[in-house]
Amino acid sequence: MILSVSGLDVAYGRAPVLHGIDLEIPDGGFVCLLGRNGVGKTTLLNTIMGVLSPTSGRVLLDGHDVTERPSCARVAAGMGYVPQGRDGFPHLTVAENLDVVMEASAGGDRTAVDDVLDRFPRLVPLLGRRAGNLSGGQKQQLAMARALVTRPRLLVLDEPTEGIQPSIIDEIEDALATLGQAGGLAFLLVEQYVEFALRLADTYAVMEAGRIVDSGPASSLHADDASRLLAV
Amino acid sequence: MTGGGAAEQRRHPRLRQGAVVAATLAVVVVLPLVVSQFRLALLSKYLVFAVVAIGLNLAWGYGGMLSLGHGVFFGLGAYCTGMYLKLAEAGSGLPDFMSWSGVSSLPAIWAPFRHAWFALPAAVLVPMGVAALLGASVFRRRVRGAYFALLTQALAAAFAILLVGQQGLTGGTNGLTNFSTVFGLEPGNPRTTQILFFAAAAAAAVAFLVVRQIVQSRFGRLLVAVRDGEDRVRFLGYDATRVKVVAFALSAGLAGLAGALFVPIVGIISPADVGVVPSIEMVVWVAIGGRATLAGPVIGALLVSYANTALSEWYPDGWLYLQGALFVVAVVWAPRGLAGLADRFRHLAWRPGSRRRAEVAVGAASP
Repeated sequence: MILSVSGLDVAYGRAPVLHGIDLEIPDGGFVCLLGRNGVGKTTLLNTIMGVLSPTSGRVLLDGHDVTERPSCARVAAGMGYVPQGRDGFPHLTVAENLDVVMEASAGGDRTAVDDVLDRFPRLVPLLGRRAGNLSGGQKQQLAMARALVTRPRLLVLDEPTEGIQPSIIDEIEDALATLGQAGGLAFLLVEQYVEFALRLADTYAVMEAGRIVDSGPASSLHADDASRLLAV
Repeated sequence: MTGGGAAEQRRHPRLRQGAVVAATLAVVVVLPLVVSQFRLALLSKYLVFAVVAIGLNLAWGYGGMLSLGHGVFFGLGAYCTGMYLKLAEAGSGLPDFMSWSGVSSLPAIWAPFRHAWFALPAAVLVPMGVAALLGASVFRRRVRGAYFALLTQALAAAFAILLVGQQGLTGGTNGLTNFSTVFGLEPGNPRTTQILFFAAAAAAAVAFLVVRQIVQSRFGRLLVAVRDGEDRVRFLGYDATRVKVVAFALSAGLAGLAGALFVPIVGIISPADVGVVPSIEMVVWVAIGGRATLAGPVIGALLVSYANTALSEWYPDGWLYLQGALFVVAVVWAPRGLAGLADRFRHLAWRPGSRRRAEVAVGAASP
């Protein structure tokens, strides 16, 4: 198991948000996490990434307990995170956005950047442009590229399709699918766009009011049922 | 013709750089010969302020840490030097103000400052240490933005109050002054003024070059990344806290260096030079000059300080209003300060063949 979350309780102050979350992602697995707004999906991701501390429960990465470890240590241990919202480092160029990651996380290995640019060829002609001047879709691709430069074994994505035009969503889907086929990389995807998520994932989980209420193989969940499940 | 000259300059950045260095050197060498001793001492003070602005720009402009308490670090450096100068003057006795305050023996904290080899490094290292300690404790808790600014502001207020309250230890409201010797030189002597001017100019040059080197390095890029998205930097495997602590401590070290020079040049350090108001003035220099630019803070500190002197001679009460108005104008109409305005005019002048067009061309050539 690349990621194993057990009995996770999280509270904002005294208000409990997550209740006894259990979640497992096998090596190379692709789990999508579905749920309406405000059920705690982003809170769960933030806890997995070390932004929030749980009141109880554990987060294991590759069998090692990382519950008390800071975000940067988790990334060094193989987790990559593409948080919600696409703003990167708007005052750095696209190339600098990638280099700044390469220099620490990949130990200055330039092939880490080259590999990522192969996956997102759209970024190549934009390397000299300031990240703040990119379109939404380009920014999202850059955000994913940045996370991939760290060469993660688990990539955590928070709504990568939000507010992005369909043709770019197709490109993102292709890129994720190719990455998955290449092997060695597991995914945890939070999405509102159910069809997109179910096409990519092999396992789904549904969250409601801070709990995981349903899960199973992605092929067993029809997109229409899922949409009804998520309807307000 | 002008356009051709500009293009020429862009093609030879080294040539332009050389010209700027040569011109600056010439000004520094010629000034002491042509301006009065009084003006030269003022210029030295402005240069000292420029050192503060250069350092503050590293923390605020590039690192996004708005410190409204840099007067504390400036003050720590200044008091370290002031203590040394007071002891050098007192010889084996007590500094004059201590006798007046009824202190009978030298406080233990003063003792090591008898030695220049301790006092001068301490003037830089003490502020760095305090800043690192403060940074490590608050940045880890993700205190930032307005909360960090308020915290540093409170620190400046507390520091000034502490200095005033500890009369016997710090000289109270009067601060440390009446130095009868300045590193073996006679205060008020034209030669001393010249030497201090060169020292201030050298400090400003060193501070400028150090910060330029930092900004253009890997660390500089990382610092900008932390400013633009601290959490994202964490998600990319960096310890953002460490980056901020290092930048903040360096910034405080430069403020300390400036404080150490301020004391012999101006001849006094008192709580009025280190509290809330001076700390805000420091931010104004950077804002008006242009933060996150290299030259902006230097120009801002020099021009605003000069305007302060000029206006105060002419209309003493007007300065505070003008400074407030300048700050408002800078924030509203020129958020990137004078440097930003200069940039904008340069782009207008160079519109044919501008960078944007070059960028498009590169984009079209790539696959």
